[in-house]
Amino acid sequence: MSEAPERASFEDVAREYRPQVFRFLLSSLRDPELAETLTQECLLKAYRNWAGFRGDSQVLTWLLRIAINLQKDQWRNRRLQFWRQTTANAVDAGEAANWLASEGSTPEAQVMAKQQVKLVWKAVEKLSERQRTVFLLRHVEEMEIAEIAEATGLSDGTVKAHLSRAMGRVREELGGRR
Amino acid sequence: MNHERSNERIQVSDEQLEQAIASFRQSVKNWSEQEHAAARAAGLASQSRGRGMGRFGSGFGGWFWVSAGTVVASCAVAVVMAAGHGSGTMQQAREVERVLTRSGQAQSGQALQMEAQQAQPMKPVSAMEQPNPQTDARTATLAEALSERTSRRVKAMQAADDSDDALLAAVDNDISQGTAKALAPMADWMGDSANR
Repeated sequence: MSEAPERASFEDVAREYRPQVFRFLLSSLRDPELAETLTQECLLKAYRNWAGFRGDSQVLTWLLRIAINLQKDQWRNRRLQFWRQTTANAVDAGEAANWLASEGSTPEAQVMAKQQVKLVWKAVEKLSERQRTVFLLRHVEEMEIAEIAEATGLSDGTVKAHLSRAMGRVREELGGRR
Repeated sequence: MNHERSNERIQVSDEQLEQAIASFRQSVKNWSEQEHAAARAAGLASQSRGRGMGRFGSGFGGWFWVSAGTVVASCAVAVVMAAGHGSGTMQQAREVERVLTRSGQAQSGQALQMEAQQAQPMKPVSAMEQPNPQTDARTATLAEALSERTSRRVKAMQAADDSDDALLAAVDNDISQGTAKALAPMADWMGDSANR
């Protein structure tokens, strides 16, 4: 009797948060197909554990934690050759920088913004897995340090340290060389 | 001299850094939204072809859940079978597949319309509903690429006349040819490790 409302509730959760989970995975992997696949995996796993979700954290934080773990598994697992091959589908940093709205800015400003985005992507590419995850959660998903700590399983201090290093890397990339 | 000069860095102000990150955030959001919209457009195109995924649901919701969800869930079923966890677990995996598919179908027309509107910050919804290469070439290209990817994914389903049993038989065949070893780690993902 109690199962029906619980499952209906999960359907709402899946509908509401799927875009954000997908966006995080897309920015992290830069591969739409792989991001879709892992989003599905994430929701499958969340569904199976939905009954045990106590609500100690936000649903999105919980879902992102699952997504982060799936992503880690995906990189660690050397046996999943068919998924490793999909990294060949990853979108180039230059192409990924194309998705900027053009309204209300001059062509020069657009070129400048696009160049900056490309450089940020280049910096993100060079980050370690943890630094990248923390950076994307903070600056794309706009999560608080405590939420990032919960999603990643790291302490607040470690999150701040990774974030600081990631920001240093981005700053370095933007600065370039003369 | 040249070496020293090449190591000289341009100072980036906090304001410039913030601006660059804001542009980055915006581009990621636009990209993600456009991928959703393009996937939905690809789903609508599939519907118009009258076979395959389209029959399951409306637009992107139906396509997304059915194509990826069914394939993934079917793999999970196959892994469970390969791992010898018994018919109870297999039924559970099938149930997960059914529920996820249903949640995609449950998306109302209004919700889909809202999704399309939200996903189109740069282009009108009408352009997405009726892709026009001249006004929306990027989305059309993406939709085409997604359509190709999707058609690869569901090819096995179509070949097996969309029958779960036939699809599972095909997956069984893959497993017997050595795929089981490659898929085995997925069994761990289907375990109770979500909260680790």
